[in-house]
Amino acid sequence: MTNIIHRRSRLLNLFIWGLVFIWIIAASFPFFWTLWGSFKVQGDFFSKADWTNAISGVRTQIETGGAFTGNGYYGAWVTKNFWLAAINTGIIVSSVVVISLTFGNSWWICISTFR
Amino acid sequence: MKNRNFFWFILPSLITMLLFIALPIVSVVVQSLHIEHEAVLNEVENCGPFGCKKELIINVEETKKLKLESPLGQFNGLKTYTNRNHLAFEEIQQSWSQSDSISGFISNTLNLPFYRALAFTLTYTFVVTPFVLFFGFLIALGVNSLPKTMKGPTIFVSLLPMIVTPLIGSLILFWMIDAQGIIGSILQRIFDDPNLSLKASPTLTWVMLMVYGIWHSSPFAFIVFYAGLQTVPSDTIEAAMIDGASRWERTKYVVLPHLMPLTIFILLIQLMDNFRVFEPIVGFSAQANATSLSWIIYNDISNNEDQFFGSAGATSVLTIIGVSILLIPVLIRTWREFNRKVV
Repeated sequence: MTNIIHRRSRLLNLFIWGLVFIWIIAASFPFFWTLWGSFKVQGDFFSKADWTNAISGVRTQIETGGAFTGNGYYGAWVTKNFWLAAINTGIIVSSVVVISLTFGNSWWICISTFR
Repeated sequence: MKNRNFFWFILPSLITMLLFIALPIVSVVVQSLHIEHEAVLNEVENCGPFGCKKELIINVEETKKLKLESPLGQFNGLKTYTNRNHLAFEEIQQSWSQSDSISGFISNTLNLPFYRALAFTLTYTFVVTPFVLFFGFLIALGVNSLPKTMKGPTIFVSLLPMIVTPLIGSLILFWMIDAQGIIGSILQRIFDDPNLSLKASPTLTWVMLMVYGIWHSSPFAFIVFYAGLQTVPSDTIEAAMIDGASRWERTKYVVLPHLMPLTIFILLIQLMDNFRVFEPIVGFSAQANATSLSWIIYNDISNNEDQFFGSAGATSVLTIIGVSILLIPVLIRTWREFNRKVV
């Protein structure tokens, strides 16, 4: 009886951990793929000929001489003014958090203490 | 708390709610009762070698002046709500009298823009919401049973789909499911169909958007359920174990009832969020096969030259009514539970 229970619980644990493993892959793969692709040139990451170019980086090798490049980050940060958008986002996020917490807390204090 | 203190505490929140919630809603309702001014037309005579012709041209200055004088537009009453782009009462009546079968009537109705969007919005809401609850709970159970050292990294990775902006998340997946993308190519190989495209077929587009919705929202349900699992009383669990309850029975009779208030909370948030589905449609460029109520509003006002604020207002009001109808049963149930506990 104890053996059956142990076998069942081991099977259940395997099932649950398998599920968590599949979920981790599903949740993280798109981001790792994008992170990997961000160090390749556009011709590789959006290759029309073969998606495996995004892994091997054929055009990246030809265009930059290396397997990886930081040109995408330079382009986004400097040419496309990403830094400006980052500052704007920072201001908005901090303001919204402070304002909503202030008003939300005063509302919550009133409601919770009202009799 | 004294009444005076209560008043001063609640005043800023009340003013904020009036300014940023009540006032915009009233403004949208008023706007929905108006439509844009028609362009002022002038008749001019154009004479050439073959004679004179009378033509109508738009008087740009007069039209601009009219818009400046009354920016709300002209009063249209409820006609915007009943026109072809919204509830389409006339078209529905016509379709009902002319259709031979129910399926023909449904097909005609779903050709109308508002009903087509409503069909997708409702399908999305009622498919994504239960799956999000189910997967969120399963993942929470799984992560909760992991060894302590693995919990932190697993929680971080699990939250990634929720942390990223919906538009960015959908764009990332959009590249991947492209026929030349990694997922699109692999699916073509699996099904041995080089022409398989997730973006071309309306059914596959709907499925893809729903899978994305589940992927994006499950972490929210997961983190709430996971927090709830930390508060399950260990005494009750131990008592159930002594009584011989299996793991499934402990989950069914102890854990699930304990998490019920959180389930209702997630349900409420998900119903509201999913009914406003918008970003995936733009991110996946899926508007040819799937439109939602929020997308219709965006479409009405996204064009700089022809912005239909009245139409967008009417769709917004209908969306607010739709969300309220969806939430009423859940809110009534919560209210009853609350009253029962108070008594």
